[in-house]
Amino acid sequence: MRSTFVMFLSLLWCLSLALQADELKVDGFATLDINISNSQTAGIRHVISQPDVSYLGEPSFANSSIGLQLDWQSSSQLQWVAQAVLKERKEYKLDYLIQMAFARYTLTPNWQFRAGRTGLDLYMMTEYRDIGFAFNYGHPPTEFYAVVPHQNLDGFDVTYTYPFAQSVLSYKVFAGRSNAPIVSDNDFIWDVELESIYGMSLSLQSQNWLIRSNYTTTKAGNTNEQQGQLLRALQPIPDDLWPTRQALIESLQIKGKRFNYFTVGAMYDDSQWILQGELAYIDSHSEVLNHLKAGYVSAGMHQEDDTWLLTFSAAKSNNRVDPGPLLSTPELDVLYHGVIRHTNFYLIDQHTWSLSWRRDLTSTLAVKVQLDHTQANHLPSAFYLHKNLSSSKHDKYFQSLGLSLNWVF
Amino acid sequence: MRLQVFCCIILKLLLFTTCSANATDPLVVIVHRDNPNPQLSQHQIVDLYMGKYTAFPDGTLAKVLDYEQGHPLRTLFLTTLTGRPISQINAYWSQVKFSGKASFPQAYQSIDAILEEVASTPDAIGYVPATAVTEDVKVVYRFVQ
Repeated sequence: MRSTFVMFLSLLWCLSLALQADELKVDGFATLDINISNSQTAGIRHVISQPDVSYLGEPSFANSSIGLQLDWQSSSQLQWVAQAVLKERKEYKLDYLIQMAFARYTLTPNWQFRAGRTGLDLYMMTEYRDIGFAFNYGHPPTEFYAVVPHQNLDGFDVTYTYPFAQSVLSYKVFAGRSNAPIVSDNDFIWDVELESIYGMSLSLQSQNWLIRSNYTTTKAGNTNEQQGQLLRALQPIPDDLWPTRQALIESLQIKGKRFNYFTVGAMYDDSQWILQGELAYIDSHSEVLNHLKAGYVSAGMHQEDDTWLLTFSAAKSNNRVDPGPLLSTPELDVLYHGVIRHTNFYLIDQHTWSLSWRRDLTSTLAVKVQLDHTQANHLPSAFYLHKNLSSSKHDKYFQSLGLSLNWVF
Repeated sequence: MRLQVFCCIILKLLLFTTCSANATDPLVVIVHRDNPNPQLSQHQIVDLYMGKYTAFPDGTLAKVLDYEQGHPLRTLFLTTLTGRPISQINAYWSQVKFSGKASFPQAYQSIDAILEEVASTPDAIGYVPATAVTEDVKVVYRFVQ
């Protein structure tokens, strides 16, 4: 139904464009990115929906992308926008290809309404994380941005903007639903549906400052098939054998569970010095993703066409690790490891130091290099894919280097 | 075919010469002559041209006009207005445009086209070299050289 709605909007929009070709604006962006790593067990990626990763001797191009955006102004107050982004995915379908397809209506200079598929205004860079030219980092900090694969919202938003003498205040509320894939080891793929998304964001922007805050709440709309199998396997086990069984069943029943995201962030850029940071807290009614705290802080400077940034990012969750059954049998051990893999999927404790360099080659073309040094206190991690998953010898320290060419046109 | 290529080169040379000459003149921000707003502050013009708040001080929605990407007047205007290099301005606009918050201002090829549109559209705003200003438009901001 949702895909049909998006396709209908896109079709309607394209037909209208054909009639009004003079009013059509076409813009695009492209990023060619290569990432190398010295890790032999942790496959480096920057968002948990990426199926391709880099290991030692195995570079990855997964951060490369190309996109096209069409804007049509049908009246002084009504605009139609569509954006398609092509990047490496586990599955290719129209629903994933269309990043945005919405109508924007400006009722007054203060009130703006958007309906259709819009960007998800969750974190500071969520809406433009695929457009490498738009930000100074080689990639958005993994500890902060990798955990949420959702980038768009099928629904509507209302923005109220108020100008002060030296700044602009914006207050936005939004509602809708979204889906995006999570890819993990052993060909695990889950198209995660988030339904009943309600959020609000507040931002204050002046010439050099941006301060923003966001609160979003949502409900999981589906349960993964593997989780369903684990639930069915847990049902007949007596409580005497596995005292925490009922709590596990409750945690694994993801569908209908509420997830809450809270974030604050600030950025200062006076064209010479840059400071940027965000903090986020995620909690839910499931142990699968609970009490996740993440943040990053960056400091850097512009020197003519060069921009340098030093970043520290960290993420830590407080998931409770289930003690398991009181009896050890081959069947129970297999079940326990399966359960642990799901309930500990977001058991994260790691931090990264990053050094980024950006050189603007022209006004629309930039080259970026970023070196990351990561210390992962818990592996396997939802952030990465892994080799030798059953081995206890995981790389706890590893470096990765990203080189990218970023273009807007 | 050769004649077409020759004419095209001559036209581009003429355009470049015209723009180069005008680019040395101080720029002024113009509106329709009946626009009730007597003047704008630098901050208000930044808001208009960075897509932050696209209205005049009296609350009227503004139709913001600009030159096409790469036009020398556009680079001069935006870098002077914001104090930032054009690559940083383009990076900022990439955030705004590709997140669907606002669209680029309507782009025009020449000073004459901007003057004509501002003169005929009550809620339009644009910028031209001071020496190009006509009686059909009103100056609301002057850059100090």
